[in-house]
Amino acid sequence: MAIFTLTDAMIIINGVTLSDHSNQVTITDSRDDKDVTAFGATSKASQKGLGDATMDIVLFQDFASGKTHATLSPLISSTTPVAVEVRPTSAARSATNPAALLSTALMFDYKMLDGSVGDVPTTTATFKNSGNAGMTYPTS
Amino acid sequence: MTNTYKATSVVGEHYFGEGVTEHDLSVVDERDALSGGHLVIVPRKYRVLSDNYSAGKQGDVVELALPRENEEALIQGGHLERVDPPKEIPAEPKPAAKKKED
Repeated sequence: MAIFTLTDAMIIINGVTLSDHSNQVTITDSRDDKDVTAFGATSKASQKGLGDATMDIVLFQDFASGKTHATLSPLISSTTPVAVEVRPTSAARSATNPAALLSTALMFDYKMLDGSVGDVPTTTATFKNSGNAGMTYPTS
Repeated sequence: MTNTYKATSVVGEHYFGEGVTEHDLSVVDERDALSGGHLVIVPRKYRVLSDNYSAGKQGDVVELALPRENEEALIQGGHLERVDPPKEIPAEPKPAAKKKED
């Protein structure tokens, strides 16, 4: 896959495909930056600490059964992890269409409505990893 | 709501019974028993109600082993409904036939 325009991202939350209600997704896989600079150093030294993985998904709000609110609102009170997967395109996973997968994700933030007068209301859902698996990038 | 489980350890059999059993466990109790290797969820049948659930097409009946909170989220979200086998109702005893009087 060459450089591409993001037009067909696939978003699956707890087995439910919500791609047709989303227009923005941010996948963050990070490590803590630990300063290990000691006396005598002339430059700062850093080491990697614990990993963290987050997915921020912006969706158009829809209160119909099976759509945005019905799918997401139960997850904010739930403590049982769900799988959240995002792919660059809706095609099957492959080396050129790898998934970003949080296999044990919890939803920590659910903005039910976000918008001003005249806007199309959107909602933002934030998922974080709840286990040691972190973010994985399966290709099959 | 109850879920169906199978004990997979001696401890599990002691607390939950041998074989396939039905329990109304709390979320925490269920998680502890599953992660401790004492229980597994026995898959049950669900009808897919929505057109965007990955396990099946709308109207399909699929077998899934869902932890209770995930099941509740999907049922509440309008994606699934349980397809439980109809409960067996014992047949009413027929009235005894009257003896023919001579």
